[in-house]
Amino acid sequence: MSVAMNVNPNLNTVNRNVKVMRWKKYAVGYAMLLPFLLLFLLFIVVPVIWSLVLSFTHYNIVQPMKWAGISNYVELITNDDLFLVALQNTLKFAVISGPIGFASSFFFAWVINQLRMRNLFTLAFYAPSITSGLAISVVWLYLFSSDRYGLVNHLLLKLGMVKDPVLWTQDPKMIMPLIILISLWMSLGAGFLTNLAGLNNVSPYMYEAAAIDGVKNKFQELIYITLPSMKPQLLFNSIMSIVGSLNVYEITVAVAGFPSPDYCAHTIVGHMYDYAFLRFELGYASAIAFILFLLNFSIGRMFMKIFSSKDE
Amino acid sequence: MERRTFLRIKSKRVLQWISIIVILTIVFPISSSAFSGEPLRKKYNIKERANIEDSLLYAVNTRTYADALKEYEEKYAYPSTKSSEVVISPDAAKNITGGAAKIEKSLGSKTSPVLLWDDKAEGYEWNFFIETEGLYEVEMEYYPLPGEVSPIQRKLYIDGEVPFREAENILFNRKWEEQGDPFFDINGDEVNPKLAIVYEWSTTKAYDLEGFYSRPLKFYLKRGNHVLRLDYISSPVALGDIRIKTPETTKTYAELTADYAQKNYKKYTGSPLKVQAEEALYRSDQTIKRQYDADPCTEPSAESQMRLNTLGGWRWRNGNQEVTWVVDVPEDGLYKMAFRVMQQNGDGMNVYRQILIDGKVPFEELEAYSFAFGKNWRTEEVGSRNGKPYMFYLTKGRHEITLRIVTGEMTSAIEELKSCNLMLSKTIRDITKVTGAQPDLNFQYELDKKIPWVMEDLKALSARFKAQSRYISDISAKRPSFANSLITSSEELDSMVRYPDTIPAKLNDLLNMQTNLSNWYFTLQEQPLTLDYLLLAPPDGKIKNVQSTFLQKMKVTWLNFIRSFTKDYDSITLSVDRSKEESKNDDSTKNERLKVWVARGKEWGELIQVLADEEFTPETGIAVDVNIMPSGSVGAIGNVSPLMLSIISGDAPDVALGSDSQTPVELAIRDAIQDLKGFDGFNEVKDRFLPGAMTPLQYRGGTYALPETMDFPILFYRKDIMNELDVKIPQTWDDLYYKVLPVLKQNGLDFYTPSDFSMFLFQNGGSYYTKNGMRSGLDTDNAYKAFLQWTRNYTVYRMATFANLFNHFRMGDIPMCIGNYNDYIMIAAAAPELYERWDIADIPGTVKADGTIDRSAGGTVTSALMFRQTRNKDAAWKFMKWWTSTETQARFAFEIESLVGMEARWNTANVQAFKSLAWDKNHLAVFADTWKGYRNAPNVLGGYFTSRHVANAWTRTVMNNMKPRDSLEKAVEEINRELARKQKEYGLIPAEN
Repeated sequence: MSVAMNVNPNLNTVNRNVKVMRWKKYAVGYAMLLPFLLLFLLFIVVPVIWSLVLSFTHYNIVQPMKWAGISNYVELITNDDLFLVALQNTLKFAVISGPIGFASSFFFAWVINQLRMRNLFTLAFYAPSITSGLAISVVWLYLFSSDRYGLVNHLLLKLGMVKDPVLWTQDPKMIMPLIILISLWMSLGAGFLTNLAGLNNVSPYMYEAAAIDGVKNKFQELIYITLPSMKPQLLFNSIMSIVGSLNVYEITVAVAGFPSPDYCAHTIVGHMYDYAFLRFELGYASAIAFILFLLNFSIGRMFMKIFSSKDE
Repeated sequence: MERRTFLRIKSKRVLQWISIIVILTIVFPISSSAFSGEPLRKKYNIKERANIEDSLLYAVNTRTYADALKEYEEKYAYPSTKSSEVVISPDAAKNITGGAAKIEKSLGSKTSPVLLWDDKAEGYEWNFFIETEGLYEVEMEYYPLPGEVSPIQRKLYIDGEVPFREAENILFNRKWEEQGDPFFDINGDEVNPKLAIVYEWSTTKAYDLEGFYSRPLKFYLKRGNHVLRLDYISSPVALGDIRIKTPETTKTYAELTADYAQKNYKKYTGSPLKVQAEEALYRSDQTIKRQYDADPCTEPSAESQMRLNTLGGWRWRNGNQEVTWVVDVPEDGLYKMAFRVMQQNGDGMNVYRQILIDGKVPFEELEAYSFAFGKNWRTEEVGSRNGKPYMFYLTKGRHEITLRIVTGEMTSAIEELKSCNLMLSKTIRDITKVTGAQPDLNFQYELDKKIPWVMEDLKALSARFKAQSRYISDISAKRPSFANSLITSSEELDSMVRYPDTIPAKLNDLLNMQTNLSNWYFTLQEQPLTLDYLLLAPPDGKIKNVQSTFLQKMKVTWLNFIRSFTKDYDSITLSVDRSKEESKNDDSTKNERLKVWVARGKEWGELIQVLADEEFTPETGIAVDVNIMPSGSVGAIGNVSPLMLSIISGDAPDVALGSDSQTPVELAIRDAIQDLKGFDGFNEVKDRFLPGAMTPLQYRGGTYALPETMDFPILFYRKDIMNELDVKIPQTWDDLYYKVLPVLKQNGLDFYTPSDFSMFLFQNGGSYYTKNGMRSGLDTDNAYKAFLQWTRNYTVYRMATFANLFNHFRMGDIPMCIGNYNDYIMIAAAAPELYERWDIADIPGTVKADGTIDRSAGGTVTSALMFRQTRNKDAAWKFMKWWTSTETQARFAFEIESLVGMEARWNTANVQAFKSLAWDKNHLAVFADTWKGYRNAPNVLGGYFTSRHVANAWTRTVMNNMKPRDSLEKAVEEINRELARKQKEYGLIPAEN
């Protein structure tokens, strides 16, 4: 008893000490995280919540806001034809450019990783991503100018492949392919770099072991070793590319202007922009933003499911 | 049935055209080969050039002074006349239109009669008698009259004709002097003091405007009675005596030194005299101002602040511009002269200055003294080519030293380039007569057989290019890249001569060559030179070549870099002391300060600040703080602009300038903009602008902004090509469709108009909205007619849908097009090779029922606005009133143009001010005509949907072949839905439930 009597208070203090110590141990971590957490809270969480609040109001920036209930959402889902066009365009873009971008960034990284002068190629591939979008679009629009003197047009005319200059940036049929082409080229770099880093991380011993175990060629190596070892990078890239594709907007403006001819390059972000800064309906725009957020989030979760392996 | 007759008519027309073409192709080679036997030298003989029927030259007086002078010397071998002088008194002037001459008994320091001449008198004539035949100069006394600040120019006739091209513009240089010392802004940087015209009598001889000739122009006069006539070009002036004099001879330096030795002048031995270049007494142009130079050895040294320590540079580059300094010479004697200079503009060519002492060139070598190109500052002693400094004899006392821009040795190259250019352009047209503008590259045209003389021309051109290249590199300190380009061009021509079948493929190269030649023609004329100080020193002493070291430069660069963190670049307010001091003049002020945002370039903003400080603040006692914003930042459409944020946070400026044409109404709808209607004098202010320019700024009875600039469409055409095709300028769209377009298309050319619906809508009697602006007006018959016409331009007439107007117009494959004001400025300022070869006209119109032609069209405006939040609204209104006034706008336009250049010509919305700018008379008449039909679409609630869906309708019809009627109806439906939606949102119509 006496022992127990003696122990009990000690045990309590030990317990408390453990708690305190554990807290202390984490406290340092949290303290270090604090600046980021504060900024995250201030610039990500608050705006997201605020935009959710805004989406239930009528607000024109200048005058005080009015409560609107769920009417914005009702309007958006039931009455807004243009939103469907935007959704359709965005998904079209995402479905084509997302996977192609994803796959080609891996493919090029894989090929280039095996070449000499890797750094040079890496720079060449990454350069478009670090150049400003505006500069890029100037170059591309110079190539694809609708003018008879536009480079591509000039070439096509000279080769006799077309009779009149192709109106790259005015013809609704031409705009989307052009946008996809340009954004593929621009977005390749970032994913490519991650993949390259991932490829470097794969241990060479694994290939040796695999060779002993009977792997015969590069493709078997790719399928049995490289790809499974690179799941984290692939996950990262897939999420980045889906987010990038769903948020496509700047490039459409640079190519087709805003609003684009007959809404052929109208995207969700474009639609949001339209309502926010051309029609001054921030409430409605916030509703669109929130839907877009949900879309991004759910598709992101889906990829997480696909790429996160259970054994890790 | 109808369709069939139409086809028949059409096929008939086609037949007609085909027959015309067949005839043309047969006739052309024959008729043009008539020239082929002509020897080249004869063909391009200067004297006979005027006889060559050349559509290029028809409007230009091509006889240059050089030609004329040569002719005088050859033909008359004029006797060296004894010095004689005929004085013509100004009161003998006869007004050429018959009115009375305005004679004043005395003016300024002059007590004899003078002739006052403003723009009311077109020209004056004087009779005079010449005793002995010979060459004479014309010397004139003049006194600038207040009222205008643009250069004073007159056109000179002798016996009823302009003797040569140079006499078409005789310049009377003004004298500008600084009003007080430079002062400091809030950053501690120096600011140029205001310049003012000096009103006093001066004497000038007639020089050429470009400074091609270092000596005054000479006119050949026989014995007998003659008539001298001057025509008004710009700016009023008072004229005193006009003297017709025999040319004075200037001694050479060798002759002069002999004189020195004979007169036994002694050399000055004291300490050197230094005059800072920025402290010049007079300059001929307002643009020649003190400049900042960061070189550590430049005096006074800049340290890390901006010190205006030099003069000249790029602002001092045009012919005849002159700057005068004053030196006090301590004793009689011989001096040598030195300048600390830098000339790093251009690419290696020398620049030339005429050096005058007390208004006279002391010896021949200084008529065009060359300053070599050099990237660094240097102290250059004025001396002969072999480096021996010249000595100048100066008496004790005050002397004026003047540097005047001439082109010196460059003149012959400039003239030669021009003549090459004419020859090249004729050659190109000879070739395109055979090949067409877009040659079939798979066809062998056999140019060397069909137009053999062209081969000779190309050879001759190549030789001339080579000669010029050699000449230019000989006279330059560093071989200019331009000399290399000439060699490249010359080699290209050689290869064309060798392989004539490649010429059609190289047509573009020839056109580029032509553009380059024209550009060089203008670059060679530019003579910039930066001066730090000038020295008069003892001839035997040594003058140190003051150059900064690498370390010194490093230090300055770092200091500047460090200071860039603390410097306030946006604010250009003058130091607080100064503006306070100014507002003290007016007792009623309570130190009001207006905050003004200007969304324009730095030069524009600074100039507005300067003008406000000089005129507005002293007048009203209201101080103005100008803040320069990035362009687009005072618009609210399409982004989160600083303006928008400032309104939300309640910190909006008092006035914003440089906004667009939609923002005022968009913000007014949301109750953020002040209605200007109630302010005092609003109606007078409103009348300064075209009603069409006000339309987009008005909404439901209120006016929410004042227009600053306006844009309007203009029809451009190439005179040379239209002449060649014998095409008349279309007055109506039908003219264009049936008379002009077929001819253009037959010749592989095109017409271009930017895709603008307004023009067609207005001309067809439609409007964008119903009267009250509640519904779209595009569902009317007229609107449909307009839409049909607009889309048929592309679907039926196959006009170019998209084209870079500037490039195509220069190339000539779109020789006629509709463009806007910017295109006008671009072509005028940046297409020198088209000089005199293009013109403008009213845009085509639509014939109305009463037979008149409706040319209604619109263009965007930029605007100035005031906010609901503005605290001192009356002061803000006073500022807006002042800013849009004719005087302010005219002065601003003039100054910004002289500061930035022709490309910055201010298209002010103030009609009177616009007219007062230095326009070509005929062009201004076209503008004024265009303004009669100036109309713009109003801005309504939800109106952004109109332009958007009209554009969509166009796309559907032109690109996707949708029926125009369906396409337009779909657009109208969309527009109306949005209008109603917005009207509900803002309570203009009750919501449904």
